[in-house]
Amino acid sequence: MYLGEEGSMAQKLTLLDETQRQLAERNEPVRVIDLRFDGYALIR
Amino acid sequence: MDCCDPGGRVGVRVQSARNQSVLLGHRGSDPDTGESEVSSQEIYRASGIVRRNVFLIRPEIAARQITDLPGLKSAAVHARLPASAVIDVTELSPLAIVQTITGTLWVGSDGTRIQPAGTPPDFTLVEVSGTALDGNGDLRPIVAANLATFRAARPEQAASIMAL
Repeated sequence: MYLGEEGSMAQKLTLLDETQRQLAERNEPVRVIDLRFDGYALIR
Repeated sequence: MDCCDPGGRVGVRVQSARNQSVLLGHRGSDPDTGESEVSSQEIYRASGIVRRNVFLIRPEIAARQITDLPGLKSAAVHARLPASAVIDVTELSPLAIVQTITGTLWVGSDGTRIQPAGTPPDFTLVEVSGTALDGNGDLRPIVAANLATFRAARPEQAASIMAL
């Protein structure tokens, strides 16, 4: 997991929830959480 | 402290602002142990007012000696007639352990370094980028703020190792 320091953490957490939900629907595991970047590059 | 000592020696009440516990000591005996990370006995001994005459207490000196203890942010000592003293302490709240190339350090909720004391935080930040700390060795405020926000919002994930 990478925390990052740029952007709004609240917004990142919202995006993280959405991305995790989408991955869970596809039954895909979360391997790396990357909060270092804005936008949707949250989980890879 | 309700009781007075004819000899003029002080009993102590140690009150922690962190957990609101109130600890009582009587006539020079050690105060009871509470739930604070820094024991009331340690605070009592560090104050230097053990069995001192209430008129000889210098609150600012006692407070300074107490805040030298690891884990404490501030202290205030109030001498009260006829023979008691109240010690109010604010404990530091550790946010995380920061693991760097050269070692580990503890940081408080504001990101500043604190001396390790009490229960270690169950949260480790691995500093891999070399940018999380400022020139003083403290966590930069934005990093500390993000860390605190994440920890509060995702405690189950925050328990795992994180990296910048």
